[in-house]
Amino acid sequence: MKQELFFNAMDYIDDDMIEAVDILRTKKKSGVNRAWIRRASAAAGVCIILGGLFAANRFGNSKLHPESDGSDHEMMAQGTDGLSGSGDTGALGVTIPKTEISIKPNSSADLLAFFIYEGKMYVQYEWIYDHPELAGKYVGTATGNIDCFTSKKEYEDFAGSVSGDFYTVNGFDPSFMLCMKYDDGSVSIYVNDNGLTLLKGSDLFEDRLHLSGNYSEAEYQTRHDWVNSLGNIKTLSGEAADVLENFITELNKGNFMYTDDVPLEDGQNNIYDLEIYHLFFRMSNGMTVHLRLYDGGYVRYAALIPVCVKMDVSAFDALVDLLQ
Amino acid sequence: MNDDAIVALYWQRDESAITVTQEKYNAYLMKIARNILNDTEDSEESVNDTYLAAWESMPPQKPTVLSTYLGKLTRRISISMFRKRNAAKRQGSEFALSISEVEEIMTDHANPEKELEASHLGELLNAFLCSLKPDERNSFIGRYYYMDSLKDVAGYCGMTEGKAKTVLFRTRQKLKEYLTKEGYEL
Repeated sequence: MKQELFFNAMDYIDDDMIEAVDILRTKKKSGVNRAWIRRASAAAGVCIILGGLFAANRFGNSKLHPESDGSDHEMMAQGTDGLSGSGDTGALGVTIPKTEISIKPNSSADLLAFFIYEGKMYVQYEWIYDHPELAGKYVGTATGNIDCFTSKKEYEDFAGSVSGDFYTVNGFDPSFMLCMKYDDGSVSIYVNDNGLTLLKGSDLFEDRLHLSGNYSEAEYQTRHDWVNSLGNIKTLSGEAADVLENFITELNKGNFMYTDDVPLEDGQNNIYDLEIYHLFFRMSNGMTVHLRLYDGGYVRYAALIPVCVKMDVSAFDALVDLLQ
Repeated sequence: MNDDAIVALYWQRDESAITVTQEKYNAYLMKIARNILNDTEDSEESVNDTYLAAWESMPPQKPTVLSTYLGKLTRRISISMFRKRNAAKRQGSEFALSISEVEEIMTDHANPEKELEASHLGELLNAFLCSLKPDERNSFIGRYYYMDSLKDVAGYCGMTEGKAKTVLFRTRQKLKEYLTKEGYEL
């Protein structure tokens, strides 16, 4: 029968096409952690795809370099005083470098849902199913033409691994956040971190994410539970309100630093060895501000893997004590 | 152990190759088999047959990507098993659903004498898939090669389930047009 012939014929399609899909399907986990896992993988030194920075070009160079081998991921501070990235944020803060994009067969490149706009890469952060009003003005249409078969000349604005119209997100800076919307009313949020300079926690959590006073509840999950997708997400009770408010206040005061500069003890390989909790602020607009908490008072926004905030330890521990 | 080392064990005729393969790829292969057979026991049998086929085929085969190679073996064995056994028992499998979806472009009443060989159709499929956008190609292969559920395909292709359904529908229609243009009798 012809249907069977079709499925037999599918056996003859090129291995590189099968492998590209295999990478997608095997790396991606089911459940709510999907987007985070992708980003975490990228940051855990696995940075197969997003490597390097435009060190030579510093600010102002918006061209993406598909010819990069993507083999390394390094960061450096930028600014007139040449910050070292040694953990001292200095007066100008830390800058997340622009990323080079290299998508090659057998890499994990296809893991990222992203598109390029104004030379910056917007990476998928989360799906929101019941707040279509988040989508604002039409910005452009992503072609979805990038994968491991793409030639470097095609790495340009509006290219990406996903296709579709993208829009501003109402109330948010389009240089930081854009979205795609779908017929079923769902919205997919994309966050750009390329070239972002952050000094204090408030630069991100207030100026860009508008956290204070805009969340309806906070939930949390242990590291172990999150990693294993066990789904035991608990809600912080109203009694925790003061502790939570103090946590946010101190988080906003904390300095940003590079994740790679977080001090580790013997036997610890990277910041993930310090991770203890995931904290989810459910925002009234439908978004979630997902924070990752690390022993010692380090806090990271899940969409900005290269940097974290070092906050006041007593305020941090007060919250952790409640979670325990 | 990396794949090169595992393949080397097969070439050395070291039976630990199968144990190592099982440790690394059993879950991956079970997923492929389950998508087709919708039955744990049959899937286990299919995956065990895969290890045997891997043992018998390496050497001379020396796959560069072991997972894809093993996955291909499991897929073939599972489809073959599906056909041999009572299809009614597995009406709910993703393979059964996949078959029903391609019925709209591949009818049963074609003249057998004019049927192209699977390899020839495979060449046409290759050319067709290369012409698609990545999200179209990935979702098509995910659905009709790996027989993943619509939900899974949508998830790893970064789209909603509704959009995945639409993309697959349009891709099937494109394929129908393409095959017709290429002179493939449907």
